[in-house]
Amino acid sequence: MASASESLNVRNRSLQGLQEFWIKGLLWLSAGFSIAITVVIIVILFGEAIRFFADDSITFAEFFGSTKWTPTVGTTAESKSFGVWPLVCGTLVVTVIAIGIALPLGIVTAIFLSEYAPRKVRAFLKPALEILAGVPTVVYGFFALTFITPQLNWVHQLFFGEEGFAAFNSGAAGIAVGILCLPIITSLTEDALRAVPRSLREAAYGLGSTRFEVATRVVVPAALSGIVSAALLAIARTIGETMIVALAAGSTPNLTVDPRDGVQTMTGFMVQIAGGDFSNFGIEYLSMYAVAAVLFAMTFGLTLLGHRIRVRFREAY
Amino acid sequence: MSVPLERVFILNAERRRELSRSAANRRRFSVAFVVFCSIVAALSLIVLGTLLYDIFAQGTGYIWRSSEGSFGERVSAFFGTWSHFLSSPPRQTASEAGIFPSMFGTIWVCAVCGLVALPLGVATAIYLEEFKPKQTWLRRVHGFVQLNITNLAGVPSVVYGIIGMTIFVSMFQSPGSSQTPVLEFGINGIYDQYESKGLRMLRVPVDSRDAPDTQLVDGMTVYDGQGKALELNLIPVGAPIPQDEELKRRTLVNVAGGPARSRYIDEAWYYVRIPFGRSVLAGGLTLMLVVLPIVIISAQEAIRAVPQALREAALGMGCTPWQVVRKVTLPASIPGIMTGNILAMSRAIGEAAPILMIAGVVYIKSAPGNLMDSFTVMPLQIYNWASDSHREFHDLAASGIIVLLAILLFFNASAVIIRQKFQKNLG
Amino acid sequence: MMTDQPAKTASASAGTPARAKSFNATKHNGETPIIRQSAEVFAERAQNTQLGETAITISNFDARYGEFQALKNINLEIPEKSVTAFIGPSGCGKTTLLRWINRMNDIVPEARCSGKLTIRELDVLQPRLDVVELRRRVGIVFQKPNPFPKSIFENVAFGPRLHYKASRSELADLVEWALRKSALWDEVKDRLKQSALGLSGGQQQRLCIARAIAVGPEVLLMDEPCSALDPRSTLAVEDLIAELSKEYTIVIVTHNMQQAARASDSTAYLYEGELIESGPTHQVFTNPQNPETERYITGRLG
Repeated sequence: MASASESLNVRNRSLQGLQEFWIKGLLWLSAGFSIAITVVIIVILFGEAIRFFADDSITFAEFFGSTKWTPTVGTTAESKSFGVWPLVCGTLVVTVIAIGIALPLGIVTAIFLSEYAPRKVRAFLKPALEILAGVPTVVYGFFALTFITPQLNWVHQLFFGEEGFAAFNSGAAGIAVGILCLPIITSLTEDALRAVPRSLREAAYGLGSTRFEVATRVVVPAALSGIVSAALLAIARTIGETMIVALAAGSTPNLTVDPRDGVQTMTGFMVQIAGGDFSNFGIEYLSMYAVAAVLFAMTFGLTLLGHRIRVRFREAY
Repeated sequence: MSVPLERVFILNAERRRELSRSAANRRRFSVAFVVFCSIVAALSLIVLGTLLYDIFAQGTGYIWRSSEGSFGERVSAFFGTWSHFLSSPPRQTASEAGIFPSMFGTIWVCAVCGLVALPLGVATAIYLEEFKPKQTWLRRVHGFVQLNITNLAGVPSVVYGIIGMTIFVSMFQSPGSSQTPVLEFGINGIYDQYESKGLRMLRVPVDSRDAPDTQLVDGMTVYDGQGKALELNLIPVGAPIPQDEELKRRTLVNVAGGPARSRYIDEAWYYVRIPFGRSVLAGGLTLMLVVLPIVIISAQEAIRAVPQALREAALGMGCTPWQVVRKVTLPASIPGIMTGNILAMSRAIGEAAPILMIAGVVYIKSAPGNLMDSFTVMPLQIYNWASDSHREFHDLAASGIIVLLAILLFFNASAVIIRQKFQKNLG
Repeated sequence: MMTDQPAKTASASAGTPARAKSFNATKHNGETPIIRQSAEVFAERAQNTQLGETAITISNFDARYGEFQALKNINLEIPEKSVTAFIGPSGCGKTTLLRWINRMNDIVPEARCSGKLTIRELDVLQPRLDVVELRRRVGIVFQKPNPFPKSIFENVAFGPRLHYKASRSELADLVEWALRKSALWDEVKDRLKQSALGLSGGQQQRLCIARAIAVGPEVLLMDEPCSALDPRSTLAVEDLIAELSKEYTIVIVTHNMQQAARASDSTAYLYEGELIESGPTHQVFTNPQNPETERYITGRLG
């Protein structure tokens, strides 16, 4: 009797152990999948980019040195020009406008939410920001095209007496991307501000600080690394933003910083090639991978840096 | 050696007065700053309000203006136009166009995306949160996986689009294409297809995709769209076209080189092929790559919120790690996981960039019938309309946005409800 | 919890015939060196203490947090240039009272109060009061050391920079003076530019005191300033408090009876929001007028 129940017990155990084993293995495979995705991304992007640079008519020096981007002109590789700067410039113009708007507004909104807002106002404002964050980017693109650009032209007319903004322009796209980034920066910054211990605020009030002084001299400096990381993550998001620029910024690769002109961003170019009828094996198709590799490297670096700073800052308290 | 007391200005009443800042000014400045902050914070509300107002005005205004008659008639015309919009395919004429195929495209693609991303993401989250290894080097691997997921969440969706295009659409530029697949499964039949004088499709079965053209013979058996067998009436060029409707339907004119022919593939609902091509499956899997990191991170947060004491209690009773997960952690964190999943799916619904790379700018007039069908999704349809140079299509885009926002609102509201309903139960 | 428990034990034994009014009566509960030492200190104090003019007057003072009445009808006078201790079990309202003296409770949304609270002639509770100026005159040190995540120099210079347009050299002199005054100078003079978070707990608390006196206050409020410190640091801070009491009016909240006995000149005992007894420390400790006070003190000491 005793030995029978014992053996039963043992068998159950081993069955259970087997079940544990394969479930754990399955879970491990799922986790491994995410690593596989990263590997695949890097292999594909950089592999195809290398194939692009392997073409005789393409040189590294041209790609990173030339300021002419005309991959769709003509039919031979010689008639096309692959200097990536106009695309990078377009991306940067949109990013500077977007971050220039979203960063100050986002930080001030976060200060209001974390330091001053009465509970009722907060209960109203937070969901509004969440909705703003949940609006699909194509909607912002449409908004930029049909609302922001006409309004910008109206303002331009007011000051200069004529409409100055092209139908597609980096200004409207930048503003729309800024609106998209505003809730991201606000919520990350607010998290950072709220993580500042209450005791520091009390210390500052106890020394006779006004509310302004408490916020700007104690809370914001103490949360600075969190704010920097929020900015970096928002920049990464801006650089990778696609639909807004595809709709509102245009598709002419211009090397210009004038927000009234149309530009093509790196993402805009990728959409143009992928959405169009270009041959799947042409050199312009391969150039898309090279651009994507540049884009990936930029956002990957920014995300990594932003995350590092964030983790470090969390450890400080 | 210490500081001479007379140099410490705080102890010298006169010097103190000289250096003193006006407290009243500081206070005024502070009040001004708080007001400034509230105005800036209100700005985001104003932006949201403007955005919604602009889109609603544009998306409904033209429908209302185009309706005529009394108020009641206008209201019924208004809703009539909306239901037409929801049930029609996109057309060349703006006033007749609708959003129906892209709504179904969204459902198909998001179903594929959710079926893969949600189990995979939650499993990964469980592994990362509940099976933390003890060995140093394994812990390092663990930390690397975690960092990797954070980075994946930051990869722009358009990059996933390119990856999806390379892996799923062209399958690493495999020799086949969607017309000439390397491998396929689930074909009911292959036909040569002709349009009769009575504007009916007549089909003749052939052996394979690359079979030679059918030699048409007068009186041979052909099939119509419903699969009904008919007798072909092949007439020479110049012969009078029969007046009888029934006969006209099965009449073809035998022009030089044969009548205009296309090859029609009758695909079953389970039809699959390699490469996937610009298909629903490719789109769904690509979208899966986009939302997977979001699902993982939100599920991790939900699991982390389960108090450690519950786990320890279960472990103390002799549960195995998987039993702890199944009996304790998962039941306690399921509302949080669901909320995260719903929000991730609403992100998938609104995502356009990767789908644009997968589906391309195409004109789709019917809902997908199987996983290999070409498709479009709502954000992409909106993009197509918005990038049209004709203003009427901008109005259509605004109407499409209203539908899209309504669906997203429904999703987000259900997430909020789940969160509020179950949050209290969690200790 | 910790303070409640002995108090209850004391009240349980309160009915026994051994109960007596005199300080010596506590001896029957068991002799401890602290009591004897305290007795000597008290005797010395009783001779030396010359309580000065009243600096802070509190009358008919009520305080509430929302529905909860934290303080009921407090009447108290706090003498200048001396140490006044608020004692009592947790939750008795002593911290609330302290935080109303420089209106720190303004930043707690649901805190309300009524009655009269004056520092010299200044009505602290008037609605249009300049709290910035009030808090400059009435500094506060908190339970847990809370230096800003800045350099040691910047911590001390923080307050003066707010209130005065002082030059760099004047600030440097002031910082040195404040650090010397708080007996920290010799330990930190070589690392003024380093982060204050690198200091030990006791050093951090003395830095907070230096920070508070650098704006030139008249009154220093201390909310259990030693409860987060080890015994050595506690002694250092207590010595500092004694030194500072020559020039500043100090109000200290403590639930450590021994600390109140050692470091204060006068004591106020609060219980459940009410002021039970107040007076010179030696009197409150050796000859309490109210049996409640005695119960608390004996429960604690015995």
